[in-house]
Amino acid sequence: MTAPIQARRPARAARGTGRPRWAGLLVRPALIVAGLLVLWLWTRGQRLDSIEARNVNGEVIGSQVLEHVELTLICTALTIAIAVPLGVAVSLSRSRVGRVVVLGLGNLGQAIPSVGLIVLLALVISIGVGTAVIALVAYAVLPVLRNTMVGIEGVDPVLTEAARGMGLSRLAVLFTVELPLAVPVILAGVRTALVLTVASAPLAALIDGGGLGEGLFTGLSLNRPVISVTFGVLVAALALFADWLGLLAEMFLRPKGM
Amino acid sequence: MPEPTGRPGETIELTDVTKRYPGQAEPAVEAVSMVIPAGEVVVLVGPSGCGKTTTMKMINRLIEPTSGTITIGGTDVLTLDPDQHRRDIGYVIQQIGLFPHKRIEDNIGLMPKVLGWSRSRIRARVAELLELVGLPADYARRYPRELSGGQQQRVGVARALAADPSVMLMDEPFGATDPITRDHLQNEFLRLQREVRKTIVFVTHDFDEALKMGDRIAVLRPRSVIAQYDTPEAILAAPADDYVASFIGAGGQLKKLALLRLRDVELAPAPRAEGLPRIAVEATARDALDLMLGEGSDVVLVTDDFGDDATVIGSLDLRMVMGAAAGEAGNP
Amino acid sequence: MTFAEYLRENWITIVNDTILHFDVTLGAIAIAVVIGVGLGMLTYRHSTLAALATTTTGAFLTVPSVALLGVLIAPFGLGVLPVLVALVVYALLPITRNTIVGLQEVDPAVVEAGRGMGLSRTRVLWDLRLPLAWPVIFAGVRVSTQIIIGIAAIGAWVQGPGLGNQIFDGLGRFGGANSLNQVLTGTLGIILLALLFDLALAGVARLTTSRGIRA
Repeated sequence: MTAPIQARRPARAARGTGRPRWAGLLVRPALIVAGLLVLWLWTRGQRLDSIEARNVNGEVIGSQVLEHVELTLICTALTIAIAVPLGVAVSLSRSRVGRVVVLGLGNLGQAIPSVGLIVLLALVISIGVGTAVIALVAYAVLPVLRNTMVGIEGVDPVLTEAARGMGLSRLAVLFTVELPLAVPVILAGVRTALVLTVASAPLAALIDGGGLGEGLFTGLSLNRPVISVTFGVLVAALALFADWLGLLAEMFLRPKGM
Repeated sequence: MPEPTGRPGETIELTDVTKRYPGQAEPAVEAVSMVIPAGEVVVLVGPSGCGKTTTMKMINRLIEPTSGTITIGGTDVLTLDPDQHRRDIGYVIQQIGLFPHKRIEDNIGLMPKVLGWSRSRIRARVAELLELVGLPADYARRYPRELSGGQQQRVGVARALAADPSVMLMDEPFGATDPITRDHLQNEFLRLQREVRKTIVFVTHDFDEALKMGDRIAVLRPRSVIAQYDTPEAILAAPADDYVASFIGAGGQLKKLALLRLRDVELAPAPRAEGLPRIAVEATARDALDLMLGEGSDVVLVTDDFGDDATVIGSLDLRMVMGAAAGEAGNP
Repeated sequence: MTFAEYLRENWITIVNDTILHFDVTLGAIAIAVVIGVGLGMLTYRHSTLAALATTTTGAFLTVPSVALLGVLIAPFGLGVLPVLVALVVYALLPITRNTIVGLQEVDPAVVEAGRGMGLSRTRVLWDLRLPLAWPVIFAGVRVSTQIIIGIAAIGAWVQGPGLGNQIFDGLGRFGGANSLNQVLTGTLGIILLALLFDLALAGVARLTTSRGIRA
């Protein structure tokens, strides 16, 4: 959903040695912890009826968080494994058709409602975790694919010419020059995909795929705000945390010297 | 001699080399034939768009010729694997093209690494090349963006020399630097070339740079047609036609003086007089003239070296300088 | 029943859902433009404030829509209201950020010329910066629209309006006669609406951009 915005994000100004501001990095986790603390205090203050008590307890929450994280990790790993090689292949092939298809799909992908996609696939394939994984990966592949292509194509042609002029083979140019320089853009795509997956993963619960969506949708359909708020805040916290991890990855995996 | 000078230059020969792009009526390069002697700097000079860069890039096959043959040291380069072929040719471009994510040592050491050199050998080579191009050894650990433009271009030259090629191609290598830095880099490069004796094809649109850098100059017309191919002195003395003369422009005589080293001039014995301006024998007749005009003296003392304690070996007066411009330069 | 038959029999409901989907999206975008452009105009001159505005609105966008809706029904109850609020929240980042970037990147020479003529800072903002930044701002509006048009589908779960109802109805009678048709209608309808919306916005962008700076 956020791919073009991520792509527009201006490169962080490189000041001096570009040392990250550590204090600034800790604001996010602190806010997340504070939010969770408020949630805990709030639910403790509520009188829970039996349905609420059955959903809002440590055991249920723990297992759903675990499922959610597992689902997200599997999907993100699959997404990267599919999208990066595919993006490399498309940009190496210099095929104009492939480019147009991918970028066009990338724009269209934004408009595809995730809930529609996941329910459709469940109807066509079957309900369950497997289908949820397929739907989530299909949804998250686009930003990574797109950023991989954009990243590789964004490498200064002077550098690839210099590398080719030195006698590096096409493949060597890819691995020593193009891919390393595309890493920041690819990582931005991965971060987008990660957040997208955490955010869409609750929908998996609609088709029996488990995760925090179970509690969330229970709360919504039974009109029990205590339940939906609890799980809503948990999902939000997880998403903000995932985004923060993505930020860390972008800072530490970016090639040095840039 | 240590490694950088290990491999001497090889002769490059272009025969009827033509480049035709599909869908264009005129060829970009038309039937160029020239011999670039081993160990010399040959400058291709001409207006932008005349095909000089295309001609150069056909030598390392970044652009494939449509027809004609190119040989280096007698081997037809079109029969070689392009990547293998390029590894034997140093390539320096105006935009430098240092890899921003690699330290200087990794930029310079990239080709040796690809060629499978041992780590210690690469490290020694990097240190040697940094010294050769006049950069401090600790720059090896820096990233390109931490260097000035001039320093980056020295690294670019070092990187091109890393695998000890016999031939170097240089595409306006100093074009993006300010005049002072450029002058400096040019001088350093000439010093370096005296050591390494590679065969160098040097592309520029700046005729003064061509005069300074070239052992020979090829003045090119559009489609890379050779208007004149000769030594700088010969071109200055006898431009082949108006086209070549237009490059020399005004001040052709002064340009000749700039090519004439004082050591090649017959000096008069040193007079006894005190307080005359002094100039080193390494300087040019143009420098001597500058000094005379600047100091308001029509005689200068010529010394064997730079510095105040150098020995005076002769003298030079205004009339001798003017005679040199008229006679000497035309027939070196 | 085939897809075509389903469409023929239910077109009144479908058109109704589509119109409601369009309405809630347009309403949210209108509110988000007022807030986002206003926020951008207030903060673009101070880099700290501008950064704060973009990180805050960016954090909103990171919060999953289902989670936000789950939280919003506590204060707002079920229905249109929580959906509208959620959509506005999601639409803020692209509009705010593009406003800030657009206003900041106006050629300083133009601003200086304006100031030199004696235009006040406010006049420079309204007469020079805003019109020149408009294409960038509007690009943000288009991105926002694409984002929230899909999110609006989820709003049906909290009894919000729009094509999401087709999807959730289909899900509700999972495996039933028309479930696939309904989900397909909802999904394709939203994609189609998004494309048409974007096309329309592209037209508006052209009409509202000064002829002198049109691409």
